[in-house]
Amino acid sequence: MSKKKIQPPEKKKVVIVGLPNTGKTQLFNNLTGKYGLVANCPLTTIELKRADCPINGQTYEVIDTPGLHGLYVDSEEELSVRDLIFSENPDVIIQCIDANQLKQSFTLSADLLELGAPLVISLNALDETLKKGVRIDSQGLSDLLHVPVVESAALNGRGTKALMEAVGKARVGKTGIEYGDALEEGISTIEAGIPTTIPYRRKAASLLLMNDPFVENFLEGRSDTEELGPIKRKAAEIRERYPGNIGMAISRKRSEWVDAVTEKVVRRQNVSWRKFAENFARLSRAPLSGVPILLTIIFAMYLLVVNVANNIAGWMDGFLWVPLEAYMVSICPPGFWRDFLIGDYGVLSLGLANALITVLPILSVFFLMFNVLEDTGYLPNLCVLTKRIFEKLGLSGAAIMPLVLGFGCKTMATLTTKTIHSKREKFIAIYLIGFCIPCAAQMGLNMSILGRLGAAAFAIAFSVLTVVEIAAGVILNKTLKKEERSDFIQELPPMRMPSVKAVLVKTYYRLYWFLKESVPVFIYAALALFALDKLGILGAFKMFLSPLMKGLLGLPLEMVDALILCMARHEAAAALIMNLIHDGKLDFIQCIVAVTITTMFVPCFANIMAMIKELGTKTALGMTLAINTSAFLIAGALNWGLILTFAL
Amino acid sequence: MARHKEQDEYLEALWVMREKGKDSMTSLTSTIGDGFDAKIMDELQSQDMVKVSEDGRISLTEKGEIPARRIIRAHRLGERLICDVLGGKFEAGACEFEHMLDTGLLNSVCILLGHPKECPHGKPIPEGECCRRNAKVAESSVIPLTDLETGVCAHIAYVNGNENGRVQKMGVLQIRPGGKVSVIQKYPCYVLDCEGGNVAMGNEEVSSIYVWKPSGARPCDEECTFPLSNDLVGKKRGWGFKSRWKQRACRRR
Repeated sequence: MSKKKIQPPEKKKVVIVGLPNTGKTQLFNNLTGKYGLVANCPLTTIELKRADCPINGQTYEVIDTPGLHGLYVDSEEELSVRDLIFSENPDVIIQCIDANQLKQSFTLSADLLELGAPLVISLNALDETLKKGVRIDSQGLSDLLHVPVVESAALNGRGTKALMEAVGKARVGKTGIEYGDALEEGISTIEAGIPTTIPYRRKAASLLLMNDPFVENFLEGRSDTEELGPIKRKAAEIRERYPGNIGMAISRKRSEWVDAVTEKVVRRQNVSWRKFAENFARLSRAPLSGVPILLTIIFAMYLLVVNVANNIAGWMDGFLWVPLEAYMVSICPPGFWRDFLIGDYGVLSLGLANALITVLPILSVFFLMFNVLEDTGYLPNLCVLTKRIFEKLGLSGAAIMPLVLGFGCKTMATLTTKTIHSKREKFIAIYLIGFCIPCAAQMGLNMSILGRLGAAAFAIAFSVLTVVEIAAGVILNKTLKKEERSDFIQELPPMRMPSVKAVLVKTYYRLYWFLKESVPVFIYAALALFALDKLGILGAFKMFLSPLMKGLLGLPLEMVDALILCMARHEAAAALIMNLIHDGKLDFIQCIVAVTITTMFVPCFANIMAMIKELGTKTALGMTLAINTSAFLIAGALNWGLILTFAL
Repeated sequence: MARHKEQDEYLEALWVMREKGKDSMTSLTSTIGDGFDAKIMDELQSQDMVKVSEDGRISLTEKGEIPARRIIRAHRLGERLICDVLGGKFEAGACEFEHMLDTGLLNSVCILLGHPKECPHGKPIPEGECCRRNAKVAESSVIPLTDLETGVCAHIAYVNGNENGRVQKMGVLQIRPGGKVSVIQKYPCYVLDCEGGNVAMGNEEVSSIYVWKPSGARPCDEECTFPLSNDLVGKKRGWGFKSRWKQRACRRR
């Protein structure tokens, strides 16, 4: 190549960090114009996201991160953020602060200031604190920390411009915290021993002194082990000599600083603010009121899906699909091409129409409601309501939140289990997420299917799923080797009135992602079934499975198609079941059995990939097999149980 | 919040002046020192804690007498405790002590020390209710958080569980000695309000938190006085004078 390659100018990096649920992703979206899923809920972002953004005429790479409490870390997703900061050495760090949780955030600020990287603080949710009579002096804060502080209302995009300007003015601030001669001297000694290739040596030194479990690995990866030996010995020696606990001494000093800063920048007025949101949150967590609230919400969603979504889907079918089908019939003579396009396994009928006409309207309505619910911050409160049940399932701590998140997306929920330290609880949680919990899409479609047979079908199917899930948890809890229980310390977000715009944008993206990911899958699955059918393999397979399907499950052989589709995408199976109901091939009992088996059956492909990522291939595949086997057995038992019950 | 602490210093100064038989504005300004702020005196007057007579004599009102008495008592009891019983440097400690203790805890310290009459400097320690009834047994002043009523604000005394990282984990959520906490609900599991954030916790985790028994039943979002160290911030440019003055005022007593 004769052309000389032009070296692009090195992009500057901006890392957005902050406590969980402080609006980091919203800020990222505002800055970059991209969309990452936001919700009023911790653990929404679990992986790093990058995008380019022009700021002040220069291209910056903006990186969104999961929640971080401080640089002394104790979980893997926090570690990933710290590693990012240490290894990529960002040009600017933006700290997102939720004004509701100033003190908690200032602890992280202290760490970031001590790090010595240029910092900008974005102060969010000021409108909420104002209602409580708390005014925050952002200019005063900026003067105190010597870094720019920007007031923003991330949700409606206010403050984004000011933030961009502030990024250009980011400065290395300071805290002025002094840890006493002994500690300062110790930190300096260790700092001197750390190779100069490593950034933030002083912070690394103090982390070493605090006996941070991960910092040694990091340093080992970045320098010779020979160099590291003496430093480690020195650190141990200083720890030994220090009267008291170094970690405690440092955090005490820092707490004093946090208190002092808070006192300087916070002005309180006594106003009586409406505590409606708080009271509602409390009611939704107490069993006596919380259970009825939960049931009401589920029932309201059910009614909307059945009365609104099903009608829209029916309307679309009548106005769009019926004419199209008639037209195809008129131009396409019976034979291969008609089967290929609009036959039982047609690309248009089973592929496109299923996705766009049957599934999409139902998901639109359900996602809209689910997103409202998610943005109010209701979901994390379920952790409290269901704590006792989860305890019975052997889940005492960090595993509860991922399980609740499973009702949103099982794949994401499986990935959040990396926050669980205990192997045993992680295993149980991943199993239970993969098993009976319907994800938001599955829930919406289940409601739509069962709604066609009445609320009783819905109530029976979901009671069965609940009982099976609890039983599975209890069995796993009894059989797996006991370990020390993990602590349950879960932050709950404040309840908020969701913003209409945010909900609409989120619904749009969720549907867009659904279409992008699953329409091709729907079409490929239809093609695969079509090919298998034409080759006669499908027929043989159905004959083979006939005793199982008809005998045990009492389902028509067409349900084999649904189970195969299930492996590709659960939504595709749902559409097929709806068609079967429409054609009168499923009765009340069969319908309940069909829904429970598809809900329990093989977690979707993405979920299996997430399981492999968290557990390793062998365990994950073993778990998938176990889930499928139990799905068949339980569905069989349910079939006969229902037949006997209704016969009596 | 800061106002309370500053007002305390003025009330304390007025009590000490009265002991010395002084009551002029000049002696108050010299007792307080550089940081004298006429606004605080105005506030105290408007709150009916202090009265200034026509010829410029300052005195504590009946209403002002109560907090002043508590502060002096806390300061001198603190000196007694830290100097005599614990054998430490009492000046700095006692200065923080006086803001830290509420009446219940103060009485407990007094009982523990056998109702001392004088501070190590020989100045009288105002009598407390416990001295009058000659109480012998101190009530527990630190209680497990599980015993705290819901909706009542308390300050955290200490947290158990250093070995498994629980202390650190709670620390980042501001559940740490000195932090403000209240219980929002206890069942099916605990939900705490700590410094503006809501945290759900299991029974076992909550039982490792101990709090100072609160004297009143105030919720956390109402104003609540508590010591806030200014030492660190005091080193900064522009807003250091107040804390320096406070240190000096403390040394003078």
